[in-house]
Amino acid sequence: MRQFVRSSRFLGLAADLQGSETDRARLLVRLALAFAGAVTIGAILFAILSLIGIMPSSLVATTIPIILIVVIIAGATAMAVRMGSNELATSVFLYGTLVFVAALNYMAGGITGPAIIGYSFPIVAAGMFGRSGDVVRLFILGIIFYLIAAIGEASGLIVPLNITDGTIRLISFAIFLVASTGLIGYLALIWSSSTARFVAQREAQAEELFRTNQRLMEKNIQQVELGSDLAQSASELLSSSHEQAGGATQQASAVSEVSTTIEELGSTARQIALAAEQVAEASQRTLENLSEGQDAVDRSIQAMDRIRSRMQDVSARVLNLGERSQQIGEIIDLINDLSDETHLLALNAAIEAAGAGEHGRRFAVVAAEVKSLANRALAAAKEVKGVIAEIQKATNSAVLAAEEGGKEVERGVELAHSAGEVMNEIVMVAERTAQSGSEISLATAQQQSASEQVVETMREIADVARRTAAGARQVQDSAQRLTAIANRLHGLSATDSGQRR
Amino acid sequence: MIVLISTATRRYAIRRDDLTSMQVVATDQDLASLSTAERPAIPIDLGALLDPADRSAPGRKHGLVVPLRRRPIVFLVERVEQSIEQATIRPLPTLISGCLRDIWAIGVLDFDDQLIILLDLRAVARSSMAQRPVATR
Repeated sequence: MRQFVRSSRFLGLAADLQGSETDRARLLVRLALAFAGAVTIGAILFAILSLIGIMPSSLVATTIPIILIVVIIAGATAMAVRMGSNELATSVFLYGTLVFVAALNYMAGGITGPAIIGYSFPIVAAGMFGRSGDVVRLFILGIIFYLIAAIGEASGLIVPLNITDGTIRLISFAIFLVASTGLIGYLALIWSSSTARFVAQREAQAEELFRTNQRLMEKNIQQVELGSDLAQSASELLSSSHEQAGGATQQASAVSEVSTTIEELGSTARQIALAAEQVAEASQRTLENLSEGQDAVDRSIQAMDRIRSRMQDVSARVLNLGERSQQIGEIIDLINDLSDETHLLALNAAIEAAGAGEHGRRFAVVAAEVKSLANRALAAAKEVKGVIAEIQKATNSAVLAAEEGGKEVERGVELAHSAGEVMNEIVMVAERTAQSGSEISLATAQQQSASEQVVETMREIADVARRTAAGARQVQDSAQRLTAIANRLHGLSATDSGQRR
Repeated sequence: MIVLISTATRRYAIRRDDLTSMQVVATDQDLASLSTAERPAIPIDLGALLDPADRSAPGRKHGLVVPLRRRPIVFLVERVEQSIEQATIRPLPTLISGCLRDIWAIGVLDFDDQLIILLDLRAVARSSMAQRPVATR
């Protein structure tokens, strides 16, 4: 559109180029100066010819008003141009020149004088500078002036000045002819140069117009291509907006699901926080119980140490008892030997008593008693020995049991120490568990808070997704309208191109 | 007079007259007390002699001293139980005694409802002395 306006403005300027007021004013001033120059030169030439005697001396006085009139006409024209009134300047110059030509004819021999040729100048100048009616008006006005002068001269009312004949007339005619033709030639020169410049300007304008038209066509082609691209882009935009709307809807649905999941996660985090608090409390109670258990283990270790000491004492005592039993057994063996020996002695005595006959009967009775006592002692010793053997056996068993008990006590002490170490480790683990429970509780509380924030954010995202979906639908509508506009533009451009062809 | 003796597992009867003494033999000194410089006593485990399975543990024994002409024999038994003045001795049947190579058992004693073999300890000592190697003798 801007290109079109620019082209219209150019066409207007091209049409008014030769008729430009500035140009015309400039040419008018130059023409007026040329006219004044030519007339002044002619007047001076006449004055010189008069002074040297070739022309009548009366012409000298005539030249002064002629120069003054010409100067006035040229000065008024230039002043009007300077004032910006070109139309006034043109009228002053054309009609002033016509009046001057009429006056010059009067002063230069009348209608049959050499200045009659001067009427052609203002008419020709009006053809170049004047408006459409100036030529006619100047022609008619010139005819009128000529007829008035002719009638006046024929009736004797007007008597022209400086009527000459012969050589003087020829010289005068030649001077006027040269001046008139020179001015007309100058005018033609101005006209031709102006016409040539005008033609050149028109050609340049035409060429510029052609180039502009060509660029306009290229722009039009680009516009058609842009319309196609626009249609394709609009189609792609429509497809993208379709996908965007679908994606936004899916995103909103997914965000809703995620929000639900996060809410469930937050609920689970609350449960975990509650469970973690319970774990922390249980760990604290466990820690307290473990402290009591540790004290119990320490006491049991001390008790086991005491038991070990007692067991060692009992073992030593039982061992001592076994040694005493051994001593008793040795004594019993001695008694046994003595009883056996007594038994054998009593038996020998009884045999000897029996051999003594009646005299040894009392001795035999005593020997029998001794033998009986020895047997009883032997039996008692045997029983005691059995008892001692049982005692020794029991003592040995007790010693073994005491040693086993001592070993068991040692193992018990080791186990108690191990239990104490395990209790220490359990205490450490329980402390760590309590600490971990507290940390888990804190972390789950933070997680719960974060979940709530995430839920809030997801709600905002869902809202944004819904707005995005709505925006995508709006974009879809806009894309459809854009497609329609592109199609219309494409059709319009195609029609315009067809018309240009 | 009959004397009842007991080995590790059995019980025998002997005649008192076959012995010179009965005494406790617990140590080597006890055994040495029964010997002389020219006639050292020979200790014999009577239970093991009569029955190899009837072997007693070493330790305190009762020694039955049988005086032989060259050396005294000390039969070691577990215990000399008692003496019996009046005892019924049943002699061995002729068929059995005729089959014996050495007549060590001369009869059977019925004591406390138990039949106990009566040994001829002097014959046992002689046979043991005769069976011993010359160097040992």
